[in-house]
Amino acid sequence: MAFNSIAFAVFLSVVIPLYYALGHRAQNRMLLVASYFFYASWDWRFLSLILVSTVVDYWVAGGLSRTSDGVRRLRLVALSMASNLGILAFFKYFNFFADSLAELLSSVGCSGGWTLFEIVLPVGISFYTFQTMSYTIDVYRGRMEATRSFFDFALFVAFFPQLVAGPIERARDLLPAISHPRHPSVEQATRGAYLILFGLFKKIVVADGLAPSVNAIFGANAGLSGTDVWFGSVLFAFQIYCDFSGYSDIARGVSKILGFNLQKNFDQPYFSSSPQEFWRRWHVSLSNWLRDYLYIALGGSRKGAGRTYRNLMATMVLGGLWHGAAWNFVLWGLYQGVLLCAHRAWAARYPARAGFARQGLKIAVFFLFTCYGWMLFRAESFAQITEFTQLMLTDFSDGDFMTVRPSLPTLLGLPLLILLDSFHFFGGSPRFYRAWSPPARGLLSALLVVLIFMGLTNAPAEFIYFQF
Amino acid sequence: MPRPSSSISNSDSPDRLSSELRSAAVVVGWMLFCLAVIDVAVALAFPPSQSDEPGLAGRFASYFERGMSSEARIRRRVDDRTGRYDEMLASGWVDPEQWRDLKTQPDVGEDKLIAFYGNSFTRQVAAAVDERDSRLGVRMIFGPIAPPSHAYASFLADREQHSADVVVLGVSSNTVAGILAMTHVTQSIVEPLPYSYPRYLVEDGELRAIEPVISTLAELRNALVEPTVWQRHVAQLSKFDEFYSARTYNKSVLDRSTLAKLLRAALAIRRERVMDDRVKGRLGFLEDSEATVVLRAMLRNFDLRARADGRRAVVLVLSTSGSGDDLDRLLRESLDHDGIEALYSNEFCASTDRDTYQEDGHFSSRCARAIAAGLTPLLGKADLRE
Repeated sequence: MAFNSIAFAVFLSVVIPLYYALGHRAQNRMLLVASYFFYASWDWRFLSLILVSTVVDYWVAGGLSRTSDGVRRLRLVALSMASNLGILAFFKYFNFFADSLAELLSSVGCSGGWTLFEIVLPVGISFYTFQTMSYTIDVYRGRMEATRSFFDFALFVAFFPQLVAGPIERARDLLPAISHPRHPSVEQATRGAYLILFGLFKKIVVADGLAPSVNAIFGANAGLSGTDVWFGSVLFAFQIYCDFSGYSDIARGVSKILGFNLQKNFDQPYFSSSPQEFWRRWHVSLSNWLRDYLYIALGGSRKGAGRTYRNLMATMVLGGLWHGAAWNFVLWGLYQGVLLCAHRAWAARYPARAGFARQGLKIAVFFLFTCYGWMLFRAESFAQITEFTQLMLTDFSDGDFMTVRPSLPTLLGLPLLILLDSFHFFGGSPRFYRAWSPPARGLLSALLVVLIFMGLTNAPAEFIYFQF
Repeated sequence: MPRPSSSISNSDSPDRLSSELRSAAVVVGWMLFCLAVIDVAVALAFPPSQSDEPGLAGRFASYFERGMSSEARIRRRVDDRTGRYDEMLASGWVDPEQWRDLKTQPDVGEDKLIAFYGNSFTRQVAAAVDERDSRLGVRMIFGPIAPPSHAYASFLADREQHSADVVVLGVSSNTVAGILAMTHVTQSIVEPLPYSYPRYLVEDGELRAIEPVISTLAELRNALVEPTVWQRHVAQLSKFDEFYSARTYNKSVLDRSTLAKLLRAALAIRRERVMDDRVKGRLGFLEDSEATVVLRAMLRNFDLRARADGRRAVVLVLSTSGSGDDLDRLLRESLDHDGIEALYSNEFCASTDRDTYQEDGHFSSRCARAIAAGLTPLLGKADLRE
């Protein structure tokens, strides 16, 4: 059930009152059952995969805590990684690599008569496998003790607000919150309610409202100018931001009401002035995961510039591949890696200079680089990437980009979003509205509610990151 | 054990708790107050009566009127004495009385009369044919956004009214789902046009028509002042119109609330999508949907009856924006199997090409002319199967 569905509202209306009526242990058991029910509503068959990940990693971590033998510990953590990555590889990447191999072979005259399985991608698989792997790796590294409670660990793996699209939580943050009693304050509950409202606004009003315009541009096979493509890429930048950060906001909001503090996954990413800053603000939980478990494991920046660039490229390419089983995601990752390396080299040679205007210019310029990256991400084929790149670099003729005009709530909501994000960025706090008077806060909430009501007429689009 | 960073604790002070509750209640109270003010302010600033005024205010009024009940919107338009809704109210009825002024035989200098039935897409093609070839006379009966069942019903009602040599029935991909309805009112909250048409069903292999209780504008006006007739009309829609929903059709006190209308508009649009899903899946139109079965039966009957009248029948398969070749794939095999002559718009202008359509979704002039160019030689032949 999607967060913006009536079914989810009904689900919450049962879970939350029940939660507040129960004691700590009963709360955890209820949340676990509710989480399994939530996941089963997508596809009950894939509950078995979550259970496999849960059982294997619980057992591995338990084994790690019972032995100090280096070889055995390595084998145990390797088992965890093999199990999780094996599940991920099969369900997400099998057909991709098989297709690619078949194409490669047929290009050299070998047609193998491949039979491919119709493999359904389990929703959330990229998120929960990474989340459980971080647990076993942290136990292996001695960063935390293995938990003794199987049910607490099961809840850590399956916690429904962040199960299908993150944030990818660390066990050392979420497990203690699960195992200790929680007493959410009124302030946290109201903050949670605001996050849910804001998340629904982003998803329903902005993301879903921009989808038809974006689809019209990326679905057209002729008649576009470079201006159209730039416009479509900018719209997609806002669509994917609102879609994903909206989901994260709802996840964090629901969690706050339940007494959990999930990490912030987005921090005004389009106010970034450099690639490094972007990856500190965009999908923070994934970029931190890649940094801690891949980039640093490869050596990070400790072995000189050459190795650093290699590690950055490897991390970003694999990060791109994480997003999806398609070569355009790999290309997008490669592009992000090139940006990071190039900026690193540039910054080493030309240190940054302060200044409001200079900073503004850097933000604007980097936003264009980001939008080009989003074109790579959204493109439907390599041919389209080639064509669109050429148009974006050479054709600045008048566009016909209003062929599919965004709906009224989206046209009203997008400036409001930019305004609120600006308040957040320049005010330095996501709780900027707490300094406002109650009437102003009431008016803001009312405007969000009205726009959500208006936005309900937008065609609902599936959360983009559900496909990852 | 270190304090969990992911957990939250409050200070447990009852004073602080009640203070926080009070603050939250004040903000919620202000939110509800603002919602009420917005509800009333929008209703006053953009009343439904302004919805057809030019300019921004009219467009806002039209937007917020969308969630008004269908019944209330029809009544408002019928009761309007300025005459601005007359054309809209009169359009689309399957009423031979309205067609009296149309051409019934070829004019001097014209070789043939071609009768077209369909919606505005078909009308575009008909107009382009008329412009292209002066030897062909055109008789055009259309309903705005009308489904194929409307076109078929118009063809049947019109059979005795003219001496056309060729009859053309247009099927556009965006209106196939309308086969499951009896009026445009139930299908759209944007512009609910009140014309009606029969609901066709296939029973025991035979096509059966459920004729609407209200089938002319005069009957509509009468029904609006005769409660028993209106109730029969609503009961018929409830039974046979798959798009009908009492929540969005029948007038109620919610018609006065902006927020209620917004929610109702959302419900209506979601219902439209549910109905689309009954007709279309991810890979195109569903082979075994009721709309598909009825559509194929109608086209077979159209061809048979046209031939029985000594006329030739042509089906125009018109793909609208975003539909790809879905309609072609749905109909090509059955039309070929039944020996029905058909022309496919995709063969002249691809539905994936942005230049095929105008901003409002209709065919561009270039595309309409291209389809007419493909159709005209067929219409001019003595036998379409030459």
